[in-house]
Amino acid sequence: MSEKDEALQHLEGIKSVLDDKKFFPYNYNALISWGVISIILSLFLPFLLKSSLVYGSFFLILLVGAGFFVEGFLIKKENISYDIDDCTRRQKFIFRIYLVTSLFGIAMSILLAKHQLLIPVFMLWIFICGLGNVVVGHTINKRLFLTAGYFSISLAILLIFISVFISDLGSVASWFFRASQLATIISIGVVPIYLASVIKKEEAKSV
Amino acid sequence: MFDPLLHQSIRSKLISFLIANEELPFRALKEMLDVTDGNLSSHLTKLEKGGYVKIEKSFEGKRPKTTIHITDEGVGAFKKYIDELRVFVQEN
Repeated sequence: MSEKDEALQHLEGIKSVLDDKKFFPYNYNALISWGVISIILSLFLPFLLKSSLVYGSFFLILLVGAGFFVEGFLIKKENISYDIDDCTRRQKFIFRIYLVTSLFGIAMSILLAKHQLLIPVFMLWIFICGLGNVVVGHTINKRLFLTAGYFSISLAILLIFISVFISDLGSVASWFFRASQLATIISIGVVPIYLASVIKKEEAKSV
Repeated sequence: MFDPLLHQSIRSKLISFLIANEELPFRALKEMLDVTDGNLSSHLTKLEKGGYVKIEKSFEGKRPKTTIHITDEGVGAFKKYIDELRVFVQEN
């Protein structure tokens, strides 16, 4: 191998590391649990919020809290396998972003439900999860997260645009409610579960 | 011609991982580089002697824990090495 080829090989090796290998220990079962929680919330939360704002809010806080508990537990377990007693800076950054956006989402959901605007609750969570995925995608350099994030954000904006022409945004029996519910189940429930299974398969292959 | 501490495939990748992550546990580096404990230790010792990395040993409970940090000198040497590689490729 010539000296130039060797130099090029070194540059390529360094570039691939700097581009792709940002260290981010994560147990993708946590993402699956978020997907399941999202599906449950999408199916039942609007009806609960409609019947009782207090019970609906409690249900929302309980499930989001359960999601964070599972996430924290699995990350801790994953970190121990790398001798990390606390969290990496990247993990802390992503955790804070998710915590803040989730609190915002919970507060906004309660406010929207109070004013009988149940359908926008779907748009809100699709947008928040999309934004979260974009942040994660950029931070750990995972293209799949970026694609899923931009897909969710676009979907949320599309639903907001359509809702301009819908008169009743509080009805749980309208076609638009069902369409928004389905969009939510797909974008923040099914897509994350699919993403996690794809990444888990990729990781299993690379071991 | 090139920095002998960095112009080696494992060590250049090792420093790149540290540049991308600032600090890494020994186990994570070992897994990412796909090398043995002994191999990694030998490369780290060379880099530590050159002042490019700092190896911090501590205990978490009764378990020993090793964390590798890149030093300012290591960052500077890495940047210089990349520049030299680029110039060499362009001129040849």
